Amino acid sequence: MFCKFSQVRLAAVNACVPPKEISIMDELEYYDGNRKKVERLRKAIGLDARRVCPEGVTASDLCFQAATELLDRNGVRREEIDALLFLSQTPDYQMPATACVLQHRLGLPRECAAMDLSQGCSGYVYGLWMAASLIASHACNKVLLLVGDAFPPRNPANRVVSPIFGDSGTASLLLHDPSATEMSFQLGTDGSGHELIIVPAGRARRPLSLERDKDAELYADTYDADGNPWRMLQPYMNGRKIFDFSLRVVPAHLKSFMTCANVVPEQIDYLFLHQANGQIVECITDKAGFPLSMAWSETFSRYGNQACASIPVAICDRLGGSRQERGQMLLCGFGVGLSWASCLVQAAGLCVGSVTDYQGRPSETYHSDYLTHWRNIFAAKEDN
Amino acid sequence: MEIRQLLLEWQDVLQCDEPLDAGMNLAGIEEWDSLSQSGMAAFFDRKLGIHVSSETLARCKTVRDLLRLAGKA
Repeated sequence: MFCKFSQVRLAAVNACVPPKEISIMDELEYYDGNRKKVERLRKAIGLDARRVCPEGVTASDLCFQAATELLDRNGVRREEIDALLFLSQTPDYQMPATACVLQHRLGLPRECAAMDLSQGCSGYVYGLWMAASLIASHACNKVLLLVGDAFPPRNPANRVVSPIFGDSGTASLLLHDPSATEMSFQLGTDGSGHELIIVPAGRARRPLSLERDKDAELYADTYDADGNPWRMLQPYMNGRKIFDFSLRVVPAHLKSFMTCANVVPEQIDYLFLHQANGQIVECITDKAGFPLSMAWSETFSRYGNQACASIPVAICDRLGGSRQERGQMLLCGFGVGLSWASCLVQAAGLCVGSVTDYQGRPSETYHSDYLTHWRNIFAAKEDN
Repeated sequence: MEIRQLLLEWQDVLQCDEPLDAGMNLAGIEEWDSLSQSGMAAFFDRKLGIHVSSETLARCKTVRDLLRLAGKA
């Protein structure tokens, strides 16, 4: 579907990543010590490094820092925020919504609406679409959109997902501005591909049992033809089919979107594609009719594939520390779902923060402290 | 694109040191894996205008099979 929103402006973007970096060169043992194989990966898809959270740090923590920096740097008063949207595939809890926790942590007013959204690699554009629609409908004047993912530790022996995905948290501010140029969006879904990137168990379709023994199968590894271990409670990705989807669907979608939005590639100043990997970014850029010089994938090389947050991190990585005077940005996310989404955003007036390292330090006894905290709550006497 | 040029381009896609010839078994090429198959799918798409899935490429046994997909054999 294609739509436009008037009087909505993307005012600021900020990004935060965990300081711990893992380079693919640190993991030679998982390639049988074959340097040549690793160099092939680097050259073919731009795989280099990723950032990972320590235990006890979640996507919401990264988003919290990004949001705090954004609000303080741009002089936005907390009481001005009408809605907080937290978009992630790795919320803090199954319930309550992590957005509620963040409303409290950020000191936002109680009148602020807060909700979680779940979407994958197209998530940032979906989030912008939701936020813009709230403003365009006059439901809100200012919306804080927090987008981030921090995946639980993965088996490093799995060379499909483990070296690819990186953690990050971002904050974006959208506001009502009568002088703002229209924002255009086009979104799409193909749920027949929902098993191509999925965490198969741990939620309603296959929840954890009350008896631990029944869950043993969820922790067992099944090996593919290349020797990669897969587990029901961890992300699964069919790399081949996702690659084919990226080439088959996304360029055609981009061309269709540009036709609906009445723009041509020559009018686009910045193209920010989901940082799936360098090869995919280059292929889509080329097939969609853009010069290869517009294919930006350095963010993937530096920080990994950051799922829903890869686009705002790419914006901060490339334009960080600047206030844009002009320019059109075309943002395009695609992947999990399967889903895809593009939007055309005017960069005029956009304040872009740099990608900053997370400053928090989780306790070394985080695990045991967390358990103790909840055991105390469970054991507390109810007041009648 | 001439076959000779195609084989040179494919050698670059695979990032292999040894030149390719039509009779080579792909299983015997160390660099023939899911990474290079994706690269080949991208090459077919962008340079030859032929959409071939990486799964189809994975089923190829010889370089000649690749040439057939490219309409050159």
